[in-house]
Amino acid sequence: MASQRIGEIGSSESEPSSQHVPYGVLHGITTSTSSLMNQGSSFDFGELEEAIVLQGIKIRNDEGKASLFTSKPAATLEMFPSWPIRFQQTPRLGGSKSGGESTDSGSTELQFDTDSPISVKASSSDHQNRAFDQIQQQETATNDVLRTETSQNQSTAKSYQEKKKGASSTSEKTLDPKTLRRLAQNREAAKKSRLRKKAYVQQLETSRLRLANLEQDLQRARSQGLFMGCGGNTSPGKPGAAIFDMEYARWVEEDERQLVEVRNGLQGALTDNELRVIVEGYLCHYDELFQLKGVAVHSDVFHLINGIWTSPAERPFLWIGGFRPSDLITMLMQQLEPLAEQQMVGICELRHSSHQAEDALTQGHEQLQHSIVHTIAGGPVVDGVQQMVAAMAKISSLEGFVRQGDNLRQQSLHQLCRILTVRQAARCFLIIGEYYGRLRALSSLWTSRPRETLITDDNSCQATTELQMLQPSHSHFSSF
Amino acid sequence: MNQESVMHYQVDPWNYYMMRVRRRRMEEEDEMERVMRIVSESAVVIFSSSSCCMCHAMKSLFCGMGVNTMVHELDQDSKGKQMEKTLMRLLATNSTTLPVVFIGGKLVGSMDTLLAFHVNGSLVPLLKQAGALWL
Repeated sequence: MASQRIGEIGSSESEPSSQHVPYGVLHGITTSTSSLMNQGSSFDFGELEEAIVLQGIKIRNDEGKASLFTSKPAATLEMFPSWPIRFQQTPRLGGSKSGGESTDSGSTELQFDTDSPISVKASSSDHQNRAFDQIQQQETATNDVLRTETSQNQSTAKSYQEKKKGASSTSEKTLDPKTLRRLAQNREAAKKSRLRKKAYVQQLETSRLRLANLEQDLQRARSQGLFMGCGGNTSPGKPGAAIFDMEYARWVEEDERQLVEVRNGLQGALTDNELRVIVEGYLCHYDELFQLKGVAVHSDVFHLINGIWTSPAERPFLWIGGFRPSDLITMLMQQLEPLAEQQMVGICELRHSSHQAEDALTQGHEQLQHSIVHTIAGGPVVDGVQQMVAAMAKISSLEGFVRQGDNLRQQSLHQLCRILTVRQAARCFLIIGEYYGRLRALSSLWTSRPRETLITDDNSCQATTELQMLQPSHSHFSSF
Repeated sequence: MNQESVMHYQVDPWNYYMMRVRRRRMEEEDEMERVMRIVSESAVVIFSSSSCCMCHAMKSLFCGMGVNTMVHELDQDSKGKQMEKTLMRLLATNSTTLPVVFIGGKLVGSMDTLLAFHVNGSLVPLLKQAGALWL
């Protein structure tokens, strides 16, 4: 860019009337020097020239460009040995002059930059005017030029425009190969900086979009938390529900993945040991779910109990915040028909004991509900605060019930795996996974159903057949 | 004894402190003995609280299985608080743990342990062994 500047200045010297600037630095220098020799009045331009050249050396060396010019500037330096080096004054005077300069600013920090990394059109015309006007202010003019040249931040669009203008005037000059080469290099440099700038801008745009999305998600999660918190709580109050929903969604994805693994394991000829690994993995997967629920129960028990985190079709079957173990076992018994005698006995016992436990928990839960109703309804002598304190205590007992419910579910699954062989256990998990997958598919079908048509029996059969296309077996809906 | 202890305190604080500790340990042992005495009186003993719903669930579970249990309502016992503390110490936990069940004089635990035992099929043999279940 510096060379370009030099070129421009040079051309502006030789063609004061032209608004366009050529590319050729050397050319510019030679013309300028020749014009200097010829004109003698532009003393300041000579100094300008030298300063320009020197700055050009500095810049070019900084950029690490190959220098065709390193020799040249040396030569030009020698031409004006008596004239002092000016560029260290630039920083000091930069501030004073920037106001007067053209104010195109592609770039930012330095005041040098605001002088137009390359809105040279304006600045060059400024230079022209100033050069003629300010014989006394030659230093400042020099510094202006230096500043414009030292700015390395590329407002490449302007440079491109400027170069275009420059190109037209270049054709009028004799083009020696060095000039051409320098022109080409300038062009490449400008192109590179343009591309860099474009890439940076694109990066900024994408991160801006991402930021906007993240903020949206955050807001949505917060508002979900608010909604789940029954609207009475402040916004940081119930993020537990939203967090649990997110974690549950992740768990469901993981579940689908594990299901595929189990299916492949069963269809492929895996050894029992390999299947056992898969089965145990699935069991761990369920343990993770219960752990998640354990955490969520503590932060928001009502969210777990009302079942909004499950799909709509699962909700009618919800029992204290999850599935009912005895129902699951009943379903499995039908599917796992070829069972050995003792396994049958074991499973029946399991079903029986989990049924008893469920009944006990249900009774306790009902009693809790009655007592909560009683507490909140209050009595003639119950104090408001006391009432609330008692109600809060009941809610914590509710947590205990959900925990016991999950405990029962977890224990049932583990016991099931103990009773069955590895292959049967794998089939069990496959059946459970498919069952819930179908429930979820049913939910999404139902939520996207056309509102005008009633769901007649025919339609529901259609729905089931649609689902059957997903999975082969279809005995589940009959059993429930 | 009080005067003695006061004098001891004035003269020898460490001994006085040790005496206090020893007395508390003896009390705790008394409590433990009392608990052990209670649980050995019956095949199945539940320490519960009349207002606790989980205790109600545990009682219903045993009822549903046809097991007679002896229920000790700690909120109606004069020494209930101390017994609750003893039970917490037995279960090595800091939170309130009711209900707690003992079968055949041995500690089973809280509701979750009981459910786990029931589901994995070890509760019924235990009850039979303790003589609480005949079938």
